[in-house]
Order: sequence, then C-alpha cells, then structure tokens
Amino acid sequence: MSSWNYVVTAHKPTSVTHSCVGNFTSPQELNLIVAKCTRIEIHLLTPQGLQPMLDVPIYGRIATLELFRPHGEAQDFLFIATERYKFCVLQWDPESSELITRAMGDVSDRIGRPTDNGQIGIIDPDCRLIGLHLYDGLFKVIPFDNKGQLKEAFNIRLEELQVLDIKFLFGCAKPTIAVLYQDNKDARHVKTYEVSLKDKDFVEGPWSQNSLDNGADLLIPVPPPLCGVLIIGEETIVYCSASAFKAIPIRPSITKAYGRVDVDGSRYLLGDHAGMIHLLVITHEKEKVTGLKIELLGETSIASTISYLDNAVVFVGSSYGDSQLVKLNLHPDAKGSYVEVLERYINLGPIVDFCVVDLERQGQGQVVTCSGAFKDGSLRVVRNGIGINEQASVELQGIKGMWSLKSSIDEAFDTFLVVSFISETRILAMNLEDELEETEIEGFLSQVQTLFCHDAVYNQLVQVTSNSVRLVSSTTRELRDEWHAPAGFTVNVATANASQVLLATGGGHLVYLEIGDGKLTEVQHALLEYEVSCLDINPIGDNPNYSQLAAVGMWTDISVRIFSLPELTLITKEQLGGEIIPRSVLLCAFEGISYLLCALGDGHLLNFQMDTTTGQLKDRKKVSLGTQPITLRTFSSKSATHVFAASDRPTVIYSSNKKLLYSNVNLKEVSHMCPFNSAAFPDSLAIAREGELTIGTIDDIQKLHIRTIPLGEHARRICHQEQTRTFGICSLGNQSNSEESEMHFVRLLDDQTFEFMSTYPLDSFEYGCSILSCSFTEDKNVYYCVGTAYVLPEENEPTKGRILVFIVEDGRLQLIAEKETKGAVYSLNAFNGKLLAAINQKIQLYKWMLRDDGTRELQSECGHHGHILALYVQTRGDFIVVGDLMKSISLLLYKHEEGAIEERARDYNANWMSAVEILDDDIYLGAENNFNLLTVKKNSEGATDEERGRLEVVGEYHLGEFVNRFRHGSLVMRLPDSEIGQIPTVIFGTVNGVIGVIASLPQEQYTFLEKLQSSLRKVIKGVGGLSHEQWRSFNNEKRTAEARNFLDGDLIESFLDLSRNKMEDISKSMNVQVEELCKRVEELTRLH
Amino acid sequence: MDNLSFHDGNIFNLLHTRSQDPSHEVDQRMQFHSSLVRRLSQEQELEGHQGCVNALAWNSNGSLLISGSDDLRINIWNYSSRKLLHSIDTGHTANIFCTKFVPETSDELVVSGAGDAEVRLFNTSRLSGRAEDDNAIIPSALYQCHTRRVKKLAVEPGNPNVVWSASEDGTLRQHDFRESTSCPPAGTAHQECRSVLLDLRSGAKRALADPPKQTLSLKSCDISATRPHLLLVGGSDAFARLYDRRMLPPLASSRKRMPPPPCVNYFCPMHLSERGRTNLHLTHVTFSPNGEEVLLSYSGEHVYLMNVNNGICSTGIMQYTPGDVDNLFSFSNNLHDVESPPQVSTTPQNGFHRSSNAATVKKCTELVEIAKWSLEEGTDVFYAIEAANEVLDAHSNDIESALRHECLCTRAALLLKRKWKNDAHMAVRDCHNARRIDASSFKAHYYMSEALQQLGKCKEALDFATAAQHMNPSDADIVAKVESIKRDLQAAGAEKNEETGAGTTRVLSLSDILYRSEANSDSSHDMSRSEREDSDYDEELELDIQTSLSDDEGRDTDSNSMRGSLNLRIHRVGDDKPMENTVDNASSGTASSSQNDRTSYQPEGAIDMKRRYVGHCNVGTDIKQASFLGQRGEYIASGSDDGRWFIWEKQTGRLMKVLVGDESVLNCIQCHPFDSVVATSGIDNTIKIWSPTASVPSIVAGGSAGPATANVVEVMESNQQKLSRNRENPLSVELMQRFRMQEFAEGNFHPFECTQS
Repeated sequence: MSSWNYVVTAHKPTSVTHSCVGNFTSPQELNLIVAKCTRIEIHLLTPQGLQPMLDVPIYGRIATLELFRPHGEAQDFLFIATERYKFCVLQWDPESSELITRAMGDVSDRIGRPTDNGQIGIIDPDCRLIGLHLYDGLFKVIPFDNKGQLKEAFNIRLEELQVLDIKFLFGCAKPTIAVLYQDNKDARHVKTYEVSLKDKDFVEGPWSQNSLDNGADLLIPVPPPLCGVLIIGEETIVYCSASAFKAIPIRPSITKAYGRVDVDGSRYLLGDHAGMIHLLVITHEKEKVTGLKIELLGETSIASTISYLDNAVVFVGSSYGDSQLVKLNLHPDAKGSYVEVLERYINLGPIVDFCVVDLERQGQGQVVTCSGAFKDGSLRVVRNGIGINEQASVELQGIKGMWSLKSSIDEAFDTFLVVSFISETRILAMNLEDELEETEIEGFLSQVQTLFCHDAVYNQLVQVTSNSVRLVSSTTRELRDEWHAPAGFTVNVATANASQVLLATGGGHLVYLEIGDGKLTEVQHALLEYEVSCLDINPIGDNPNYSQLAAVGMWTDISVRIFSLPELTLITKEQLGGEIIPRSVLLCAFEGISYLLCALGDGHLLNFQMDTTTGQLKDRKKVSLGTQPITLRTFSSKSATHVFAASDRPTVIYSSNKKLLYSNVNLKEVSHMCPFNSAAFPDSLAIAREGELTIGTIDDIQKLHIRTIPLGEHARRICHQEQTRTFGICSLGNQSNSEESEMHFVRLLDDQTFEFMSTYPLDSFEYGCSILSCSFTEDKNVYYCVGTAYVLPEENEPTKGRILVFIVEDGRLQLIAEKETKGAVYSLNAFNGKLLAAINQKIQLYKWMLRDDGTRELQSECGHHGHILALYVQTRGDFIVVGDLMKSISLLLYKHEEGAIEERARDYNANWMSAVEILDDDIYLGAENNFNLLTVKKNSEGATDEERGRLEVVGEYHLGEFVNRFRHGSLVMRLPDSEIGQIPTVIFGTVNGVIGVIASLPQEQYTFLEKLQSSLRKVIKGVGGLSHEQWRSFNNEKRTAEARNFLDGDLIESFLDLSRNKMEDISKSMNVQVEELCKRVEELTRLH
Repeated sequence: MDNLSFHDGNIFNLLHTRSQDPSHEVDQRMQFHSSLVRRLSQEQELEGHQGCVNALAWNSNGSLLISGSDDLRINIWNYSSRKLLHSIDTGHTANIFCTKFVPETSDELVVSGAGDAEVRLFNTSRLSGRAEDDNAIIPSALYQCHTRRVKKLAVEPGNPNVVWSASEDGTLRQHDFRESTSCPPAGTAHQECRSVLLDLRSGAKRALADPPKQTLSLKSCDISATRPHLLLVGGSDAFARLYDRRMLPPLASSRKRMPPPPCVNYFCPMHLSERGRTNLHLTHVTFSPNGEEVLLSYSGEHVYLMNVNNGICSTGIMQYTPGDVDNLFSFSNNLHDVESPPQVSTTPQNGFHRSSNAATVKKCTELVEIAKWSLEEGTDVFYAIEAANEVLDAHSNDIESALRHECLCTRAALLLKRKWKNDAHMAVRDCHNARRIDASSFKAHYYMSEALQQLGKCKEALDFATAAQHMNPSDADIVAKVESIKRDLQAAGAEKNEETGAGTTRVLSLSDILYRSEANSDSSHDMSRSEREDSDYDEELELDIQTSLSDDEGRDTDSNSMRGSLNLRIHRVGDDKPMENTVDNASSGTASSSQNDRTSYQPEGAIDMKRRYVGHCNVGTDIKQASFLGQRGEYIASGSDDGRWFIWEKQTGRLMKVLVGDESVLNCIQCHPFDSVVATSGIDNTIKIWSPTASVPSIVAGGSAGPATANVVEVMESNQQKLSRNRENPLSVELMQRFRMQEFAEGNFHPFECTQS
C-alpha cells in the first residue's frame, strides 16, 4: 500500500442520533427528519409509509437537530449545530428539492470548557431565540429579529456548572429556560431563568425545584395549556410548574428518549435503556394538572430518539439496534404488548469488531460485523451486490430469450414462462403441484425462435418471430390475428408493450403496429439508413400500456434515436461514439425521472436523462458493467422498478436519492432474465445462466446486502476459521438488569447457518477481549486462541486474564491449553509461528511447546514494556505495530537471535488510539479518539538514531467517525483484468455503523484525484454552507491541521451526481475531458 | 491498603463503553484514571536550566510547556518531542517565580514575574531565526511597579491582552498590554501606574474575627476557567480570598493605601481561622477544573479542598462564622443545628445502576470492622483511617446513621492515636458529627474530651469527659480521663499564673471573648438579652484586640482604619438584623441570592474545608503547589519538602501515589491539559515528565533517585514531624544551610543560587 490514501464510505452511518417531525417540505406535508451522525435524511409521511425525499451528508457531527417555525412562515426551518461548533438554518426549496441555507455561523468561543454532558441546542417555542449550552457556565443566545432573521449571538453567564439538561418553557411572556443541574454534593435541582434580551442577562425565573431524584437526567417542557416541565428521573417522574408539583414513582429505569404524542402535551412516550417504551399521561382538569400516570406499552429497539408521527405510528431511532417504525395499538397482543413493529431500518452500529471472509469462495469479500449493543446485539453479514435466493432450477441449454405472460391482463400473477431457443419455443407453466411444467399455447408458434412476447390488451398475447407477429387470445389461446413480414424480409429485432409492437426487419425497415381487440394494425413504417440493432417501447408516460416514444439503436453509425409514436418521426439522434454497437436499449423511469439506457456490445452502459415530451437526451453518462454484451430488462421488487442488466457481470440498476446506482448481482454470468411473479414463486425472477434456468427471489435492492443474525446477546469479538468453516465469537449475555448475572461466552458458529455449534462459558467476571484463529510452528492444527480479562468490580484495572487455546473437533470447542496472564489480553496475533499477546501495558510473545507427555502449552519467550495500555497490535514479518491508549503508534522489532522485542520507533504525538493497521512495510494506519485517521511512516533512512526512532506522520484526515477496527480486504470482486484490482484496500468499521474502505492509490492517480477534489470543493457546496476543507482537517484538542495524503472518496464520487454543466465546469478547470473524468471516478466506485 | 476499591471503576469498562459510545466524558475519565495514576513514573527529564525551576505552565492545547528558573531564563519545551524550543534570557535580576503563556496569542507571548519585582513580557516569534545561544531579547513590555517579589501571574482564558500579577508587596496588579506596554521608567516624574486591582496592603487578618490590618504578602492567585470573573488570592495569612472582578473598585495607583476591597468569600479550614499562628501562610491556591472547588496549600500545614460558594446552591457550602469555631468545642452549646439528615437521603437515591446498595453497605460494614480492629491492635492506623474515610466520604449517603456514627467515632479515635498535625481537630469534627447523630453517645463524648485535651482545651475537655462519665459511670477509661484532664487543668492554671507571656493568654482570652459573643448571637434568636450587655462585651473585645496589637504589628497600623473595622464589628453585634443574616446563611443555608450578595460584603464568614490531604510537608519553600490532576480533577497532587510528590483521591483523601521527583524539594506540579502526563519541578535544575508507563501499579515508584522507600507511612510520619517542628521555625534550618539561603533584603541577589522561596 502507499501513503496516498483514498477514503470512501461503503455503508453509510445508520445509527440514528436525532429525529424530529414537522412541516418542512411544504405547509401541508408532514416530514420526519432523521440525523445519523454525519447525515440527515428527510422523509415524507404518506399513507403508505415513509417516503424518502433527501439524504445528504453534513460536514460535521450533528450535535443538535431542531425544527422551528419563525414568525410569518408557513412551514418549518431546520436548525443544525455540529460538534465542532458550526450551526446552520436550512429551508426546503421545493423547486430544486434541495436545502437552502438561511443562516449559518460559528458559535465557538475562545473561552470556556466544553461541557461534559454533551452540547445542548434549544429553540424558544415562540421563536424569539436559539439557546446553546456548549461550554460550562455559558449560555449562548442567538436572538431572532421580528422577521425571523438571526441576530448577533451573545453569551450569558450561567451559574450552574454541571448542567444535565436545559429546555425552554412554553407559555412564558419572556423566553424562559429550565435548567436541570447537579450541585457539588451531587444533588440535582431545577432552576428557571428568564432571558432578558435587552440586558443580555438572566432574570430569576418563576420557580425552582430542589433536591430531585439523583438520576434526574431529562426535562420535557409541556406545551400550553398546561405548561410547566416534566423532570424524568430514574425512580421518579415529577411534573413541576410555578403552581403545581406532582410526582409518581416508576420502576427503576434510565430514560433515553421521549416523544410528545399530543399537541396539548398531555401524553408522552418514554423509551428506556432496556428498550421498554412507556406512555406517560398528565391527567388534568382543564388547565389544572391533577396527576401523572405511566403505563408500559411494550418493547422496541433501545431508543436514542422517539418521534411520534401520526395515527399512533411512531419512529423509534436507535443507535444500539435497528431503528423502527412502530404502531401503538389500542389493545394489547397475546404477549400483552401494545407495540407492533411495522418496519425496521437496518443499523450496523455500533460495529465493535468485524472480520472479512469469502464464504462463497468466489473471490469476493464479505464483512461479518459484531453489531448492536445489549439486547439488540447481532451479527451482520454485509456483502456487496445483490443475492438471488434460488427457489427452483432446471437444466436447460441454449436459452435465447425469456418472457413471462399472464393468462389474463388483470391477473396479479404470471402464468406462463416463454423460453426461446435457437429453433424452438417452449412454454412452461405452474401445474397444480406448484411445479413448472411444459405446456402449450396453441396460437403460438413453437418450432421457431421467439423474438419477443408480451401480454396485450383485451386478454391477448403477442408473439413475435422472425417472420410474423401473432396475436393470441389468452383465454382461448387461439390465434386471433397475424401480421406477416414482407416477403424477403425477416424480423431481426422486435419489442412490444400491451398495445404496441415495434419491429425492424433487414434493410433498415422499421414497422410500427398497434394492437386492437383481435386485430393487429400496421400503423406506420419508416426506412432508416442503417440496420437496427435494438429497440424499445417500454411505456414510461402516464399510460402504462402505451408509449409515445420509441428508442432505436443503430448499426454502422453507432447511434441511438428517439422516434415519436405513432408518427414514427425522428425527434432525437444521439451519436454514441466509438465502434461498439448498441445491443440493448431501454426506456425507463426512476423516482419520476425518465432515462434512456443503452447497453453496448462490450459491456459498457450509457445512460441519459430524457425529456419525455421532447425526447431530448441530456446528462450522458457511461459506465462499464462487464465485458460481454448486455441485455436490459425491467423488473419490480417491493413496488419499485429496477433494471436488470444481464451479462458476464450481471448488474441491477436502480435509483436512490435521484441517482442511478449499479449493484452487481452475486451470480457469475446471466444471459437472460425475466421477471416471473407466479403464485408459487411470488416476486421471483427467471434467470438463464450457464445451461440452467433458475427461478429465484432477489434480495432487497441496495448496493450492500445485509443479513442479520440476531444473537440476543452482545458479540464483542469475531474471527473466522477457514479450515473448519466456523466463526469464533466472544460475547456477553444480555445483562438486561441484573449486573451480577452477566455471563461471557466463547461461541463457535457455523459459517453458513450461523447456528451456535458449541459454547465455552467463561468464568464469572471474565470477559473475552480478543480472539484469533492461528496455527503454530511444528503443529499442523489450527486453533482458536481467546484472550480474556477478569474484570473485577473492586479493581481499577484487570490484573488477571487467560489465553485459552481451543481446537475444533467434531464441531465442538475443545480446550487444549490455557495460560494465565497478569492482565487483560487486549490483542492476539499470530507471529512467526508463535503467539503475540498484548496484556495491559505489555507485549508478550509465547512459544507453543510440546511437553514430554505430548500435550502442548504456551510458554512465554519475551516481552516488551513501556506502553500505557497496548490495546491494538498488528504484525508483519518481524515487525510489531502497537496502538497505545494515549501514546499513538509505536513500532517494535522482534530479534530472533536475542529472542527479544525492542522498540524501533514511535510517533511522539500523544494520540489516543482506537485502531491500527499496517498498510505496508513502512506505512502504518491509525484511528484515534477524536475521529481522525492518520498514517505514520518508518524512517529507515534517517541519518541519526533519533530520526530513525521517530515515526513521521505522513497523513492526517478527519473521518468524523470512531473506528473500532481495520482489516485488510475488499468488499468487491477483485478482477485481475482491471486496474482497480491492483489497488490494495483496508476496510474499517465504526460506532455509527459505517463500513468504509481505505484504498492506497498510485501517486499519479492520487495527484489527479487531489486536483479533482479541490475543484469539487468549489462546485459542491456543503449543506448549510459548511466547509469541506474544515470538516476534513485533522482536529483534536491539541491541534488542527489541514488534511493531507487522504482524499475524501465520498466527495470525489459525488462528481458522478453532478449535472452536465457542472461536470463541464470541472472538466474545464482540470483540463480533462468529462468522459475521462467520469471513467476514472467510476472506476473508483468499484472499490466498494 | 488495596482492599479499598477505586471510585472510578475498572478502566476496562471505560474502554468497553468507548467502543460503543465514545464521548468526551469517557476520555476525561480515562485521562487520570486510578489505574494510570498508580502507574505513574518518570518518563523524561528535561535538561536546560541552570537553577531551580520555580514555575511551570502548559499552554492551552498542551503542545508547549514553559518553565521559569533561578537561572533567570524562561525555557519553552515542545511537548511531543520533549525538546527545548526556546530559552529566553529574561533580563530579570532575581529568581523567576512565575511564567505563563498569554492566551490566544498562538503561544507567542509569554510573561514572567520574578524576585526583582518585575513582570516582563516576551514575544517568542522574535526569537525564531536566531542562533540558539543568542536569546537575550528585549522584553515587549516591562512592568516595574511592584515593590516586592512577584510570586504569581494569572491569565484569563481567551484574553490576550491582560495579565495579573500577585506580589509580596500586598498588591495584585492588572497589566493591560493595550493601555501601555510598560511602566514608566523608574525615577521619571510620571505618575505611578494605576494598575492596582487589589490593594491588600492592609488586608491580612490574624484571625477570622479580626479586622484586616497588616500587609498581606500575596503568594498565589488564580482565575477560574469557568467563571473568569472570579479571582482567588492567597498570601501571608490563613485566608484565601475570592473576589469578583466585576465588583472591584477601579484600578488605582499604589500611592494611597486603600482598605481591602470586599471579597465574595474567605476560605479557611475552621481550625486555622483562629489567631496565634504567626507564620501560617498559603503557598498556592487554585480552582478546580470545573470551577466548583478550590484547593489551598498552606505552609506548615496541609492541603485543603473547599467548595466555592457560587450563590446558587448553598446546600453544599460549609460556611461558618467565628462563633461556629467554638461551637465545635463547646459542650454547653446544645446541638441546635441538629441532624438535618443529609439532604439527598430524603429523595430516592439509590439509582439502581449504582451497584446494589446491599453490597455497598456490606463493604462499608467490613471496612468499619477493619478500622475498629486496627484501633484495638494499634497497628496500621493510617490505613484504618483511610478505610474510615472511604466509608464516610464516599458512601455516607448509602449507610445507616448508626454505622456512620460508629465509623465517625472510630475515625476520631484513630486520628487521636495517630496524632499527626491537626488530627485532633479532625477528631473534634468527627465527634461533633457523631454527637449530631446520637446526642448521648458515650464514645463521641469520650473521644471529644480526648481530642480537646490534646488541643489543650482542658476546660472544654472536662465538660465532655464529665458528660461521658455520666453516660457510663462504670467505664474505667473515662474515670482516668477525667482525672487526667483535671490534672492538666491545674497544671495549666499554675503555669498561667507564673507566666506573663502574651502567647497563651491571648489564645485563651480570645476564645473567652468569642465564647461570649457566640452566646450572644445564639440568644439573639430569642431576643432575651439587653442592648446594654452587648456593648459591654464589645468594649471588652476592642480592648483586648488593642492590647494584642500593640505588642505585635501595631506600629504600622493606622488607628483610624483599625477603629473603622472594629466599629463595623461592634455595629454588627449590636444590630440584630445583619447578624441574623449571617447565622442564617451559615446554618440553614437556604439564603436567596440577594442575601448572598449582602453576605459577600460581610467578611466575617468563611468557607470551611471539605477535605484535607495529608502526607507531604510544605515548610521549606513558599512556592509549593497543590494541583488537581486531569480535566475532571479527581485526584489531588502536592509537592513536598522531602523531594517527593503525593497524589490523593479527591473524594476520600486516600493516598494514591508517592513519587520521588527531586533531590531535595519538589515545588511545582502541573498536569497536561488532556493527556495523562504531569510535569514537576523543584530544586533540581531539571523538569521531570511523568506518565503512566510503569510496568506494575503501586503506591510508590522509583523516581530519579532510585526505588523509593517502601514504607510510605514512615515517609509521611517524618513529614508530619517536620511540619510540627516548623510551628516554631518559619524556615527549616537544615534547608537554609544546605542552600546557603541569602537574605531577603532587596537588591542583594545571588541569582544562581537556589533560594528557598
């Protein structure tokens, strides 16, 4: 690898940190806005569910997300503040469906100590000011003027230093805050202050409440008419206002999130640390509060945010498990739960560990993560590309085409599958035993190859062969009409929809037919100058049975033309360039945008956005999908339309966020595909490949496919053992309430079924903290080595641990050897046929020794001190790279002759590491606790010992994510023929559920992309005007430095989303052709 | 004693939490986690000074360390490379005592204060490009308006324009770089600098009840990071003072000696607030990182932690008036401030995540048993006290009052057995608290009498002993005790008759007066006393002080101001209302902020100690620091005359670590703002950098001087002896000899010899 690195997100953050509900996109529309640490998603509430409208990156870690409505506005604005003290106010632009920045700024102060309990950002309910608590003892106020514009911010001294929560109170003449704080005897109180904007100071508020529940942690302001505030503790809930005080005891719990149900504020949903959701009701007589009631509703994922949407539907955002859309029912189900989960949104976070494996042995990596926490713990198998789950298959050679047909046009399911061969056509249908059986449609010709088939209006079917077009009744199955090709001409290519047929015969004749009831009418004919290679009349307009446009691909001049129907007049002609003819064209529409897709004979695909009225093509883009000709077909899955590109590298083309995405299908080669939605195989595809016809269902359409294996316990470490086809994990049992009974296990899982095969329970208080599959010198066996720590509550650091060596025999874990250590075994590595362990502050090397009695044992050979805590260790050859808790990265060398480990070099910066990896002999990669990445370089050529003893920092980058693990590997198939195949990559997993890729680029490519990145920075403005350059600058308490030797792949790849104009601007500034830029960026997208 | 658990939990759990929920809080808790404190060891020695290093400071982001030395140089060190970046020949003509980076100047401006009474400002950017040995740069500013040694500088976070300097001349000056870059040269006809922010030339108090009069030689000052308007100063008396800069009179010149401005609060442990300790002074005062607490280090005394009264919640504030001091000792004073049980316990308190309460109670019971066993055996008294501290300081809310009472009595007995400095005073407190739980506790009364006897308060001791005897007439110990106290009383009486020395009489007479005034204030509640009586007492008080003054420092006291302060007091006692206010504040502690405002200007109250940290010896130098470690400040560190430095757990006072850091005396301790790194300096010419790199955790570790003595208790014993010896000698003789300590007279400096100052 190299020091020129490219960082790109393969799986976006999924951990939900904030959410809010309001009329953001229009005064009539209700929106759910979700923050996932560094992204926001805007959803529209529809009767069908949540409809995504926008998903954008934020150049910062979101600390505050609030909707508010300034005076005189009909809809809400969005306020966002980031952990690095930037804020912005966003408004929806219905024209462009983008976010407009209404205001932005920096609210950092020179003085002040960042708050311990996180930042607080709140907005006065009457929209007079925004309040921020960012530093101990300071309350920052950003006032609004009468027109809703933000004025200059100022600070007010807040006497309370240990603030737990601050909220604005409703119904106060002056903006009033309630402050929940802890005094220096750890007692908790609430105090209120009026904010005097004139004096820029606080005025004593209307009330205060002393000595609350010791666990009081959260304030909920109650809107009019009741007003006042709810104070949520661990054992009590208190309602408090100037005139009333009501309290109820609750079952001990830590409330993590709340959501208000009613506008009048009489009901609230509370989500606790164990994922229980409660309904809190303020009982009242008119405006007088009479009491509180609380009721358990049921269980959800552990909530970090709760947003009540509408009609008893609630969004539960989680950072420990999947987020959910739940419905609260009036009546409990059999288990007594009122909660019904409508939908789950996959969340990988927190990824505490993962491994890269190739389970199918296809040369494509899969990532298996330890995800979720507590009861929501799970393993997730993450793989690039879409899987086909085979339902049935039959051996069939030489398939030339496939179509599914219905027995009547109104039927929900397909009945027939027409399979065409070089000189015959066979028809398959489901029999009563749900088997696919050959059948006949009398009106069809079966002794010739079928060129095209389609359901037609009036319960008819259309078959196109090289000589004729046949119209057959789907009920009687008899021929009703036939159109014959003129003598001497054969039909070369044909297409049809429910009411139209378009075909081309030799000599460039284009014939257009319309389908009537029992009648085929030749409506129009055109003579083109060259032969037609492919055509399509897929309806994309309002009428699903009729297309007003026809797309035609041409030989010889290599062009694609758009004709209007029924006139068959040429309205657009687009030269494709090059010498490769178009082999398949397709008209399609995604997310309301019409496209023309055109696949070439060499595996490339061109796509254009198309104006359906004028037929104009724009935004031409070219991607390479494979090396063989491509056949395009549409299909639907989960009520969305997608395109299947069959070729040597089958691909599904879909759209997300108004961007076309390409996801490979995990099949080796597909010649033909057609959707086949039969009663027995609903939502299936028929796929022709390698002499086989397969019927199967398709995974959810997304680039990364994720399979969840719920564990009900919290997996902390994972590794794979190729030889035994197993996974070993260290996990801790669900510790729901009783800490005493927390149990830790080493478990063996089958790598296909993920079933527990064997379990080794650890001692009480013994945590599994590392696991490794390895073998030793002079021993052909492979072992699982597990490092543990005894975490005793009365100790401040583990003083004892074990290394357990297991062998897998008959699917069981057999303990072979065990070695006690003097601390926690934070890391294990196979090293020169020995075992290298990191134990507390020490690196220790163990030999695998054969005892006289034939048993084996670990024997310590040598060690190295001098770390604070040696948490992360990687090795390469005789070199050992250690990531320390606080002392950055150091390089150790094992000296065989002396049998000793000594320090070679270290990075003298005091980085607090969270993961390390060796990129190559000289370059080491690290991640630290302030969400930065860095690379350091060994300086073997240094002139002095001192220079050689120093690891030079060569790369720095702010990732904005906490990395728990790096692993070498790749999520995509590595094809040796492509340039990209030569680029080494490292995968990382983060707390927010991000899976990312770091690719080491050749210098030339890096330099090129660096230029592109800086051009893109000028063109792509960050949401809210946040600066990309600042965001990616290395930043911790000690220093801030411009990013270097790392590129932001997410920014670079967003080049492909730009409009043609913007692409051209960049092309000009870089002096590189747009095509060339597209090609180079597209290649990069293949890294993940 | 390692069967005590640590209050910051197991670091493994923090790492576990971090991997799924990273936050600043976790990082902060990790910075000086107990497991790391236990592994601190010397990592590096920074060489570059040719004299004692009297001042250390980190810049705001911890990338640079600045040091000031007797060699008249300021050195600036790079943190990550541990290398000397700049060495500035300051041009000071006497030992540098303090140096700081000026905030928000990219660490280019540095400022120093020295024994030559000057404050100098340097711009390090002017150094770059020069040859390394040619670092004699002209200061950017020069302030010569102090007349005595400048002991401490303070800067305000975020303010690049102002530096404050505290000097032994009794003034704290504010130098604004924008107004003038320097003082007018000495001897010119210009007016004197108007830079005096605090004029404490008549600010020192001999006792809490005394009016201020003599010059308060300032030794230390600090500005709160979270409330930068708060300024803390300490000097040559027992009282640290907290000022609100917004309330101070405008800057003045030093021409006219001003009466001391009103302060927000005095801080002083109750037992030090009495008169009679002539050489008691503060060597270092500092705010905790979150600004809620202050730490005071006394010469000849221990290190004390106190709460800052921030006016918002008085429940945590232990404020007292002179009368309260004697409340503690007096038996007759009924415990009328009784037994408000600790506030928190009225609400449900045992959060379920706090590991189950039963386990805590069990642990506490065990610890009390251990302590009692130690008491009987007379062994391991130090550790037994730590065990009792653990129960009382960490879990007092979790345990029943009976166990608390038991533990208080046991700790009192242990303290009386250990007899280190002030242990008797601490025992008095424990007994007092035990009595508040159980007013008829034999043990509490018994140990109280013992404690009072040790303190020489035989009369009061006898009261308690008699009371105890009443409770348990058959106990042989108490009979003996009563006898012994009576003997002491007689002996004292005889001595008193023989002796005419002012010392002892003064103490007695003061306490008598206070007694009576206390009685007054008590009775003021029921309004049953006459005005006449009052003024009689006040007459007496005034006379008494007058005489005491005349033999001491009366010469430079201008009688006018003295009378003024006295009048104030007479007025106070005579007038019921304000007096009641004070009492209210102190006892019930529910004063509204408006009342607090008023009390801010009534300096008679002081805030009492919350915790004491024992083990080191602070006598030899008056720049000895006691610091908070880490961003959460959960550990306290102090230098010591024996060259060691000590680290205690803040919450319980438990000794965590003793390290040898200097050949002779360790003075300065400054921890890195974010990392687990500490810089220390002392008499040695080097600065030591400490980090948790020892291979095994322990309470001691090898410093530069090799493995330290294993017996920590012995080390501390000897420090305590030195401390007590010092009661008579302001400066230890041995040190003076060793370092050829020169005269303090101005203009007679030997800069390259280490001064013990």
